[in-house]
Amino acid sequence: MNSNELIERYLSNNLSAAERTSFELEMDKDPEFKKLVENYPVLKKVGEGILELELLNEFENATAGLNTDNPDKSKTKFLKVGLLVASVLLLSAILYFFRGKDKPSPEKTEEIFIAYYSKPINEDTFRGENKEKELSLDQAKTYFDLNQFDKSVEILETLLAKPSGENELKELEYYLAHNYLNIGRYQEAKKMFLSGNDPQKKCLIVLCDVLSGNLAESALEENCSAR
Amino acid sequence: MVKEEMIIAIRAGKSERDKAIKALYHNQLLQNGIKKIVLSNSGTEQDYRQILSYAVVEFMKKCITAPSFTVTSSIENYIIGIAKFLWLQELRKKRKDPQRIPEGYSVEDPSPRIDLLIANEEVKKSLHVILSKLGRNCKEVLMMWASGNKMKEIAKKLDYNSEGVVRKKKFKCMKELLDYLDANPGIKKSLSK
Repeated sequence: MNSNELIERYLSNNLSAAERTSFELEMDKDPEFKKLVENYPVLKKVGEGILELELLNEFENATAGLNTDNPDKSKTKFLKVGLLVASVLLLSAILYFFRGKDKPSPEKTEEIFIAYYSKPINEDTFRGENKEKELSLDQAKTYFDLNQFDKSVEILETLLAKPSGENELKELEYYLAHNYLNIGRYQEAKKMFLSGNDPQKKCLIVLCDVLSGNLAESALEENCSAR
Repeated sequence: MVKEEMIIAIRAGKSERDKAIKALYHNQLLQNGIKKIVLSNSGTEQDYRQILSYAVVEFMKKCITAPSFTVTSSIENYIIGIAKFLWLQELRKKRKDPQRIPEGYSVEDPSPRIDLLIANEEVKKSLHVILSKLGRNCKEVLMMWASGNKMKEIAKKLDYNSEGVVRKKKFKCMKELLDYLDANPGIKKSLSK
């Protein structure tokens, strides 16, 4: 038995009579030991108090600067929020960057076409006059009116190599542009519209860009009036 | 960290204890339980933090000083039980009646006694004064002795040559402490209550 246990048993009256007598004899012989026994509870208290202060100090140091959220959860939460924000930003950037680069679907193209494109009407065709003419330009116009764009383009491209004059050139470009637009050759159509004098030039150029996927559909609202 | 790991970590030493403290500090059940007791009964956020720290300290002290100490329910419930006891004690001191103390938290056997010295401000002050007068070695020896370590363990942990050296050191420190307490009866009285 160590001296602490002996002292504690003595103080709590848990020693046998023989042990107690022996213990008290020891105290009588050694005044310092006696003083130690008499003050044992205070000394023990100081020792425990020092331990408590040390543990409190450890607690304060370990938790200094921490918030009470679970760090793993906080990290995960922070990471999740961060990733979400980053994803949204990235997606927005991608959408912004590519908003005009994806070609509209065929259904969408048709929808835009119907909303913003008016096919020029060649009144001669409906009067039946073109049938009698052998001029290739008129033939091309007729094919255009009959929605036979490929045939029309074939004639117009041939004529464009040797236009008879400035006026014909403008007319060839005008019809080529509309033909190209109708067969989905938007950038070629745009090129023709740019050099031509179509009264709807601005809108048609934007329309080519939208249908090519170079501009967002919203650009049409700014530059065209829907039909 | 499960219950057993937590108790082992607390007993293992400062570095492992730090991990246990952080785990307890971030424990949502513990936070909510103690907040409910303190904040619903006239306590402030500062009171809550103090009660949380004291309850954790008391729990750690039990783990360290009583080798056979175990918790039969959950550690959260046990610590909330300590917090409840400490806050009710505080309310009694302030002569305030508890309003909404939840049932169900109690510090169960085998260690139902809560004797956190630092919860008493006067004792805490006296301990700080004593601590400032003691040398580092004395502080460590007394703390380890109070923690229930045997002389052999103290010699090993504090790197003393033998148990005999530790015994002499402890005796010298106790004598020094008693001399100081004799010279400062006010402090001795506050510790004797």
